[in-house]
Amino acid sequence: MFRKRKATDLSDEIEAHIRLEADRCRAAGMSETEALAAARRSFGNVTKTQEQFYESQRWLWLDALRQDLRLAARLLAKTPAWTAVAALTVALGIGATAAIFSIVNAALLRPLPFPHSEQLYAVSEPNKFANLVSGPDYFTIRENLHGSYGSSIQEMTAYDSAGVNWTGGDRAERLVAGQVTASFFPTLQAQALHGRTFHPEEDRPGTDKVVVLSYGLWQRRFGGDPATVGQTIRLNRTSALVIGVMPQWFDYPQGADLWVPIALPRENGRIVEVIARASSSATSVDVNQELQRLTSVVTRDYERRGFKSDGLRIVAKPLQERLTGNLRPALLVFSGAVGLMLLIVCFTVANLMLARAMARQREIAVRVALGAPRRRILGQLLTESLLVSLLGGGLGLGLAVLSIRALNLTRETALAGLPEVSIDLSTAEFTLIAIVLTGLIFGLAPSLGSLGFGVHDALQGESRSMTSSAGLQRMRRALVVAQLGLSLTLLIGAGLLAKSFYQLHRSNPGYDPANVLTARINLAGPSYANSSRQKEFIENLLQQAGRLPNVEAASIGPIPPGISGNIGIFEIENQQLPRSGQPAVRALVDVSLDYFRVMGVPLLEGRTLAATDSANAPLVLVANQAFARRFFPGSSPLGHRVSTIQPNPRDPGWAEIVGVVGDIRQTGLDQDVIPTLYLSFAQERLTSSLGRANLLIRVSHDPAALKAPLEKLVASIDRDQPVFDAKTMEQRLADSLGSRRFAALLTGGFALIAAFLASIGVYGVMSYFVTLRTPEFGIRLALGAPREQVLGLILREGVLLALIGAGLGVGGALGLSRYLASLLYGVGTRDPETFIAAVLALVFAVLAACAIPGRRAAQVDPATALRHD
Amino acid sequence: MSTREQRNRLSLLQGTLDLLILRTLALGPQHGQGIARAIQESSDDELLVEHGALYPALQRLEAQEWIAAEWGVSDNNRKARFYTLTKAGRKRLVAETSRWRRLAGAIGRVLGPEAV
Repeated sequence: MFRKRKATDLSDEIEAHIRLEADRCRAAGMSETEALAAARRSFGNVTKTQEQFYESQRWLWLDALRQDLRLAARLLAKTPAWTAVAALTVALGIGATAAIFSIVNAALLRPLPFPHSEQLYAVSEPNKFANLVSGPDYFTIRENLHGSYGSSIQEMTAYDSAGVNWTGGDRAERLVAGQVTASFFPTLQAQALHGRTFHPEEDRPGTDKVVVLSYGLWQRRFGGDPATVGQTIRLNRTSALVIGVMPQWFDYPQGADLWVPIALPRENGRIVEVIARASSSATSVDVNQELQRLTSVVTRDYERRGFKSDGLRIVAKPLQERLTGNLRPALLVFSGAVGLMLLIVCFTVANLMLARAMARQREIAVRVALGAPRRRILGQLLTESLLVSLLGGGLGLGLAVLSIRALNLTRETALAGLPEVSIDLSTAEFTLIAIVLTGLIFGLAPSLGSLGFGVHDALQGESRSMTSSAGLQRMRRALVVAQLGLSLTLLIGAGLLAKSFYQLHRSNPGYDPANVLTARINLAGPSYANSSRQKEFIENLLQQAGRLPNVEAASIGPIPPGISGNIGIFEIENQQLPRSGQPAVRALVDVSLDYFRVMGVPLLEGRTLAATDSANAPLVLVANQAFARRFFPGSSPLGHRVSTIQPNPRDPGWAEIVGVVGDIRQTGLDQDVIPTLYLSFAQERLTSSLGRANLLIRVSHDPAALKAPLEKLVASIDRDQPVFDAKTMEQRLADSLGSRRFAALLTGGFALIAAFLASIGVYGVMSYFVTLRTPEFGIRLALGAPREQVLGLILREGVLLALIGAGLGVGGALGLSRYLASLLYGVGTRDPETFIAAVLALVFAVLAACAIPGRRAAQVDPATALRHD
Repeated sequence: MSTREQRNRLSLLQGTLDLLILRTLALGPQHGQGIARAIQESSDDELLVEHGALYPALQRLEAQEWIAAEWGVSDNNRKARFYTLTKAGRKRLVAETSRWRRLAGAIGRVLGPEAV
């Protein structure tokens, strides 16, 4: 390899050359000095040779870069305040962008962790259940998968998740179990880390006493001992054999601690989630075609057994879309908002750079005059902006890491269904690209601006002469107008989201959430195998809970927000249900007598449930208002009988409606009220619905303080039935608005930062405007113009900027707000109030930003001002 | 050497300086000044080596490892950097010489007899 030669070595060589030449000249008869001079003359330009040598030695651009970097760093260090402001602005923009990107990446971009996850589809029966499939249909579908022609679906699985009580240890613990068919792990192509997964025969009732542990549970409860496989654990008071442990990456259904066979009965109305794995060559169209064929098979099966199929549809969509699809609209909005903010950040820093460039016009002009190529000057300015961008970007990445850590803590309420968010390689790559692009964007404007002016003017003119800076000032004004427009668009978007949140927040949930504690119990195990044992436990618990301090009433029943009870079709005796529109479904839920009292729901008609409605008495129901309105429009439902068991022509379980109560927004404040029928739990015949008991207790004050006594009480009745998920009703209500609050706060934060940056931009431009025109103001004042008039001049300039910006911003908002539609509640996408409020806020911010420069202008001392020039 | 004298001399075609340096060094090790002088003399003073070009050329050849350099002492006891032809340089010289001969011949044929 070629060793680098030092420049001094060359100098020596040149010196030697000249001496040798001089020797020759002397030999030809010249005097000592003559010879040396001749030798030097003949050699020519030594410096040029040295330069050429130097340039041949290295990559010049790298050298230039090093020089530029050093100069940029020195210049930035010389103006620490400016550098800090610019870097922090970039940090805000990059930090927010990186954080939002990592969320989008986690939810939408990063593939699911399963092998060939693009082959996985979620199967559902959308007209019967939103995302689910009925158990019997699953069997029919799966059995007919490999039909007469090649199937595009390889494998299929049904699963659900449920709480189980771990009853082995000193204290019962509630775990989340994935209840899965034996085909679950093969469908997801996941192998056990230790041991094995389920054999096909193990998901049938009776042979299902096996369990697969998650990595987390295995580490936590068994210390990661491989010998755990083969041990027996107690779940719901029965033994189950540990047959395997899953690897750490496997976390599906999300949060599952262990997996047990679902043991789905062939003829039961249980609904399940279904995943299908497509064959490697099948497209989404192929899969749906196959499902269309299978739909007709299921329909024929229905008809054979004498049931109505009601236009059944079975469809598939990519699993990832199903898992995170509900996040898509919010993430789209966040991405848009953060994009706008990043643009504003670019413009802000561009503006800062312009201000700096204006101050440095002379320096740059001198460099140009001394022969610096424009390319080098442009390079130097770009290096400076890239350095600012890198500095800010580094800080921003730190901000992003912090905010993601915070987000992960509140993930459940803020963006339910969002997987763990982390800064991974693709986020880092994206951020780096964003940093460089940002630096180029905000560096380019001032660079081009600086090269635009005439060197001659800049060198000759006074630094305050307008001619040379007019171009830069125009550019700054354009940037400020763009900033104002973008931030107004953001303000309007955030305003719409905030208003939606506010509307929901103060909307009437239909119940009184104050002073109510809620908790769940999972009655499981052989001792609760029949409903009378479950009822006994509940009655006992309610009675004793009623005697706890401060308790006014205790009940079981559905806890809003959330779907509860049995949702399905039903019949009204001697009456045809309305066929048009939405499917005629109702929710049937079990409650105890005091439920309406605890919830503070008013009785509107008839009577409420009573103690006399016991197991042996005729079945009675209380309907909610939505039910009455929907199925008995204009008449009273009292006295009518409806079916409680469906579909079963032999024993429909006719029950009489005896009362109507007010509506509870059961599924969420932003959801329509489901027509609901309330049944006294004493008359319930199914064990499954009582097994998951929800406790609701009204107290006189401080509901959270009841948590500990309640836990103790339940443990004293049965120590194997842990109370879990204890929360005050107000907390639940607040949590249910978490995603909306998050959306409003996030976009609101972006909008405020944007508006603040824009105001600073206005301030900067106006200050310069005042500086430029100080002599003019001086003349005006000297000629007797009132000070208000001068102030008016400044404000007029500010308002002009604001109005142009407002026009752009409103235009942008009108164009973009339709993307918000799915996140809004009770607010139109063109809500005039929000638009006007946002415009006023912006105008106010602009006027505030003009105030200081305006005051300065109005207080100009004519004498001083005139002496300036 | 006056400016006028220099004007009458031929300036070197691009790339030919390398070849001439290699050719000169084929006769034995030489320092920069010696190379320049040798080229000038063996071309009957028709060719003038610009020193501004000589040293970058030497640099280039050294980087290609066609020549090697070492500090030594000249005939008249002066310290100088001596260049020698390497094996690769000799090969290069042979290849370049034949290429140059072909080129010169071809150009000569195109230009035709001197009488024009």
